Amino acid sequence: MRVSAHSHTLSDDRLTRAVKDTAELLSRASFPLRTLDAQAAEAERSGALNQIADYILPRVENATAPLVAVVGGSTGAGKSTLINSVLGQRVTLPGALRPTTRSPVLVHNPNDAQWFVSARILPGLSRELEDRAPGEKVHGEPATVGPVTSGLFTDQGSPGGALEVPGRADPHEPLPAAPRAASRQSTGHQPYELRLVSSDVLPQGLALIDSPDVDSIVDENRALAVQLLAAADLWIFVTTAARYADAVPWGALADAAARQTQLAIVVDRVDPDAFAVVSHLRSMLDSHGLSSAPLFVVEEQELVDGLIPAASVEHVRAWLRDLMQEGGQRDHVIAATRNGAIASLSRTLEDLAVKAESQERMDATLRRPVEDAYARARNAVSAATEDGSMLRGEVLARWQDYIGTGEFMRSIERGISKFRDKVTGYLRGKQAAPAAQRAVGESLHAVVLEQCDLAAEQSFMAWRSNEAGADLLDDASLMRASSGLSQDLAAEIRDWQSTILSMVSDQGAEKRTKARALALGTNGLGLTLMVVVFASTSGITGAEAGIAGGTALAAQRVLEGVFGEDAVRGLANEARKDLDERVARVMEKERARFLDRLDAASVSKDLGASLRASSRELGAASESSKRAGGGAHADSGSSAHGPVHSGAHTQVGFGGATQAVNYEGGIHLPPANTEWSEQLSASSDDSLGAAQAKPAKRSWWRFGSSRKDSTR
Amino acid sequence: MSVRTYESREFRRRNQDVKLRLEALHEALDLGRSWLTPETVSASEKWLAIARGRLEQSLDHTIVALAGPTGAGKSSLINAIAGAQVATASVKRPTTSQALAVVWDSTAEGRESAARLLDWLEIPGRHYRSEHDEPAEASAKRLLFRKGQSETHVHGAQIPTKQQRKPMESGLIVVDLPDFDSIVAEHRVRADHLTERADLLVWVTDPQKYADAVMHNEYLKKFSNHTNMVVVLNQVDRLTPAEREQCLSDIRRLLAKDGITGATTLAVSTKTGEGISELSSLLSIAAARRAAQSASLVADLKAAATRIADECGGKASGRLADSAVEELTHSLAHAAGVDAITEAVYQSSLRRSHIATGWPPTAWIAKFRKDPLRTLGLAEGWLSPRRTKNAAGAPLGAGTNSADLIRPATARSSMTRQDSGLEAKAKTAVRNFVASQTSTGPIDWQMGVRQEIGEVNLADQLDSAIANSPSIRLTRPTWWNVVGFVHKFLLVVLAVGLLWLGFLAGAAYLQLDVPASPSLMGFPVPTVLTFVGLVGGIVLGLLARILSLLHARRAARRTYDSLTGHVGEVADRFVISPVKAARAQLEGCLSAALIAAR
Repeated sequence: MRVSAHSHTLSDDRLTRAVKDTAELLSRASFPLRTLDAQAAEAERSGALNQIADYILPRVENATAPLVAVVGGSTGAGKSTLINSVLGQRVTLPGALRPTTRSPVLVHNPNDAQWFVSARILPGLSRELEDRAPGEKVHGEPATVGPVTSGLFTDQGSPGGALEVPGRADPHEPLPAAPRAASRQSTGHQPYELRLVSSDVLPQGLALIDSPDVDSIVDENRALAVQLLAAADLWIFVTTAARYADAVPWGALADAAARQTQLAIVVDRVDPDAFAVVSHLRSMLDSHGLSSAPLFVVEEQELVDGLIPAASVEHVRAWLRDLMQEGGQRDHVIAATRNGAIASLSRTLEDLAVKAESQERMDATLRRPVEDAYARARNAVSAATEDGSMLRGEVLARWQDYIGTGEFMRSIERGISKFRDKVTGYLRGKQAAPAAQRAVGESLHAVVLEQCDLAAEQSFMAWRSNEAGADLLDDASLMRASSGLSQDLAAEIRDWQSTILSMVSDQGAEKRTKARALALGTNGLGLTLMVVVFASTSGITGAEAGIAGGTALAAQRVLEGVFGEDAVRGLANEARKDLDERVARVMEKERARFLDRLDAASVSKDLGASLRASSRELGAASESSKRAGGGAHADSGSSAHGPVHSGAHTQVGFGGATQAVNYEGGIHLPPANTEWSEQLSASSDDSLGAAQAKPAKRSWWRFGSSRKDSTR
Repeated sequence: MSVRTYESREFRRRNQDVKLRLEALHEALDLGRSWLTPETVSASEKWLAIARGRLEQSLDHTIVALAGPTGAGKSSLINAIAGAQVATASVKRPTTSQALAVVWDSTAEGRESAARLLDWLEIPGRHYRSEHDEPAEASAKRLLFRKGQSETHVHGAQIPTKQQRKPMESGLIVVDLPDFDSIVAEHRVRADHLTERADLLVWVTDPQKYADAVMHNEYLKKFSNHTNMVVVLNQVDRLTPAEREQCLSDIRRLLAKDGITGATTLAVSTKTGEGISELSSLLSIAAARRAAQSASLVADLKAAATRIADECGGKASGRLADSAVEELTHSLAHAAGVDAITEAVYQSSLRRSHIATGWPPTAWIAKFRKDPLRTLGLAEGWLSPRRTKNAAGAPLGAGTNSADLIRPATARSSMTRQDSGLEAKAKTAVRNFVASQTSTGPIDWQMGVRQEIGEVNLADQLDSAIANSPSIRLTRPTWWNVVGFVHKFLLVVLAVGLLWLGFLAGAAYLQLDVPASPSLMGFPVPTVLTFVGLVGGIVLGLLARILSLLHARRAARRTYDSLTGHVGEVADRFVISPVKAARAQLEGCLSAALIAAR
């Protein structure tokens, strides 16, 4: 299968672009409403962003960069000791000034330094370069490393006492954020540094990271561990005989399995009498879909200068060595993890899309009751101002006070206006019209205020019954109408009334009706118009017609007598419209107290669709990239698959298939311990059957250990 | 050793304390159920049920739970304490899936009640040991892989430093729990069940796992209110003495961070037997004191009660503010139109007294003014006091012998349908009142009060309270009649004077000789009559006007007070009393919770 270099570049370009677009989209995405899954979505989002920046993008951009193997696992599993022992060097010893392993250590070959000094991978972590001569070799001489302060490797007396905890006991005071931290869209809190250590023991093209514990009591450490695992080309999971059934690491293992991160497992600190553990772990791995992961066993034993004796970790070393060998499985591991990560990212996007849509639904769920409540409030105000229910009680009394003397007044001779005014003033009370207007205003004010209170209460309750809504209710005053409403409303109503007065005085001035208009006075006409407005739908029936209806009718007659029928209708409509607008404006402001909070959360409307599209594009780009790059892998892969049983060192547990590189699973025992091998042979455990069926498996480490002298 | 020996007064007092707290928590929960968060309610119910269940069981037995992560060596530890191979310790993880209990009790009845207790705990596996059995240490040594070290590490406990261990105390039950951190989820469920019900919690951990997030965040913090916990660092044989010290101090630091004070930390090794005897005697002492049962229940009840008290919002709020009650009444009165009615009564009274006592030549014009009470639909007619008394069935005040009564219409047409203004004003007044009087309580409680009160149609109630009020009445004082009579007399005098003068003028015009009018103090009588009739009428009218104003003001004040009183009754019945009751409920809940949490 020949693929031109050109098309290869093209599809990789497409993939790079797709990944970058995804990162851009994710950095804009947010899940602000506290729905049941919002927190998970936020975590997924920032996890995905981190993974893109830390791993996927650099890996897609450059497939030839060194393979990064992250050594992670449980607290006290002996990760650091394992790395030191594998290297034969105490590289992960923390410096004397800041004795902490909270800063993960990255060990690389001196020639690979340029890959890691820059922020190419893990841009959220600033770098701390270690100034030390490369190649300080095994077997003690810790002199160059300075005084051992932590007790981490000092437990000479106790077997396998790689007790990590007292040494890292002080990682609680956060460091100032690293200067180069968060240079890209790394969302998490990152008070960490990445310590770079170069070591020429390590083959070129391989880097090891000593990661914090996945089950650390320090939250930040846990988060960093997860982030580093997501950034691994290869995950070396370290556990112990006491811990291998812990729930937390198995969660991480399940993630890795789902992501198809290439995985190797080291059971550290296995007591001689705890051999059953190994086969049990093997069967657990198999049942979790991790049957392809190789399992290395390291005995619990006395440390020599803080290192596990070389012979006991030789199988791990040999495996790594062979991995990096020319024609080894390195490219497969990288490609498989990368493709798995992209596929998993694609699934994450789909998942986030679902959650984004649930955010949109929640937005609607919250918006609706508020809109409904205020719509009801507006309707109630409309109804109250139209059906004549305002024309009762005091308003009615004041109106009747005013109009009651009208007939008498009209019977008085017109023309002697001064006398008439005095007489009517006396009879009617000078303040009758303004008092009636005030009563109308007060009633209107009360009705609107009450409805705003009610709507606020209903909205508040609706939101409170919902977790996402309750989260937005930061202020208990939302339970009622806003405190300034009463004043605003009073001002609006005053304005409305003066608008009405100017309407009738304009109307009165421009017509021949001036004299008659003058007779009633502007106040009286305005009041009369208000009464007409408040009974405009004539929803008054039966007995009602007797009083309120009659009232309205009388008012209508009076006005018609002054302005004429059409003009009255026009005026009433105009006044009503003005009132409606004012009420709507006030309500709008009240409603905004709720909806603004929802809007401030800014749930994006089409995030779900964008995420889906992005997921599709990522999948397609990945497919075309795989097609383009697959040929190259197939060439080496097919040759690697053959010699599984041959004993050739190229076969170190990687069975090279084209799409997914499979490890050979099975159990790798330490070379020195033949007693265990016998136990293994004698074991009747099912899971061991596989190992037994491949005798080459056990011959492998023998081969590896025989090579160790040449390596050193 | 008889179990009865331990039923001391102190023992009874402690159990009485538990029962008291239990009752108080129960009461607090009942009072607060409708507004406490569902999580708090269910947690409280759980702890109540656990406490009740535990109290029903033998209090002579102390349940010690060995809890810990998988692989910490709980099973080995129980074997070491029991001095026998009761549990299968294994290297495979997770190991123990069923809890297992070892009971120290030699009496048959003691074992029987222990069995019931274990049934309640749902622990199937039981081993019975007698307190006379071989002490744990000796038998533990037989199980050792290696020779034990002589030094011991005990921290924070007052343990007699006798080399020779006493036998285990009767009444001790040690339970080996399943782990809580393995991938087998059922283990966790079982472990949770038992840790919540145990009397004394012994957390077993090891140098690898003592800083695990699961143990600290999900377990130790949850029980941080327990004062008598033990944290055991097992497998110390893996550590050098220096590391052991580091490790133990690190454990204590982490425990302090979890908020745990007073826990005993202990280094043990089941391999070397180190610390086992200390642990055993610690447990033995606890079993002998018989205090762990109540202490554990008290701790749990206290925690639940504290949670309730926190949700009640701290301080009790005392009684309702008088000013707020007054403001509510006045606002409601205003909303119900009491002001308008009062004004109408004032004007009406003035009008009537003007008609009755004004100078008749001008007073008649007032009849053309509308009677404001009639406008309000409150004046149906003039009724005699006696009839009103019978009709209204309520006694009327004294001194109304000549009163005109205006009885409100039984069905006032102007107010039959809701007055939306009144309704809105009433609701706003109530809202203001409820908000100001409930603002210190939890929000769910506030909303409950609002809903309860919001259901009443207060406008209707106010309306009918005022409509059926017998007290809108206008008295017709006797002096009106006197003044009216004097007015009539003066009019007659005036008329006579005028007629006389007219007659004299006519006679003079016709040149008729009329005898001179008699004179009074030098003035002719007809002139005097006219003058007296005119000026007297006007002056009397003015004087009556002043009296009328005073009278109207009194009538208005009486009306206002009476109507406000009726409004106050309505407010009290539908608003103030419910708010008081709700506040009493909240305060009751809080004080019960505080008693339980004391």
